[in-house]
Amino acid sequence: MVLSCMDPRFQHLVYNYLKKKKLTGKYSAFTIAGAAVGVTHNKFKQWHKTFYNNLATSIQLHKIEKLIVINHKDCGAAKIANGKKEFNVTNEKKIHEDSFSKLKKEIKKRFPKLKVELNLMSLESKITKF
Amino acid sequence: MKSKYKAMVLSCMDPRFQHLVYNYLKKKKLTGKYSAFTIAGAAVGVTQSNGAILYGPKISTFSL
Repeated sequence: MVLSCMDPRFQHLVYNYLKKKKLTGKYSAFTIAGAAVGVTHNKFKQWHKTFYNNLATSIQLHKIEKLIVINHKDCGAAKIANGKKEFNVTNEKKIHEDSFSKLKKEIKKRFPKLKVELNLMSLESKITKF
Repeated sequence: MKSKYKAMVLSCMDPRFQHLVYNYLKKKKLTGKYSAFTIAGAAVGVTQSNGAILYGPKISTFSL
């Protein structure tokens, strides 16, 4: 399953990244504001259960083996999670890192057999792996 | 100011449909112009009041 963000600037970037990886037709998708930030941060608590229910559904229906997470830079949900503090590159990076770490831990607990791949994409399509 | 974005697309998580939906929207010249919410069942997933129908033991009876 690919967990990615709703941002209009990234729909084709994510699609093309996955196409390049020869994954077309081979992934289910859960697209939500903030990707890993949306499914882990307390400010979006109501969304968390929906994500895990969807992931459980995809594991059961599609027999997926991996969760591919694609967060992105200049993320609106990260700005919301950041609150009133100055939103800068350092603070945003920390928000993404925290979301990755929380998500990885939760997946290990709930779905121990599921592999997790953590990515941060830039507007230029550059991927940083975590 | 007119927004450069046109729509949010609510679609299903099904692997068979990711490229079909993407290409449909591309054909509609909407690339880069839509936000996305992708969830099991699309409109079914966001309207079905009994979550157990989608996520419960009867899951195998549904083709998503």
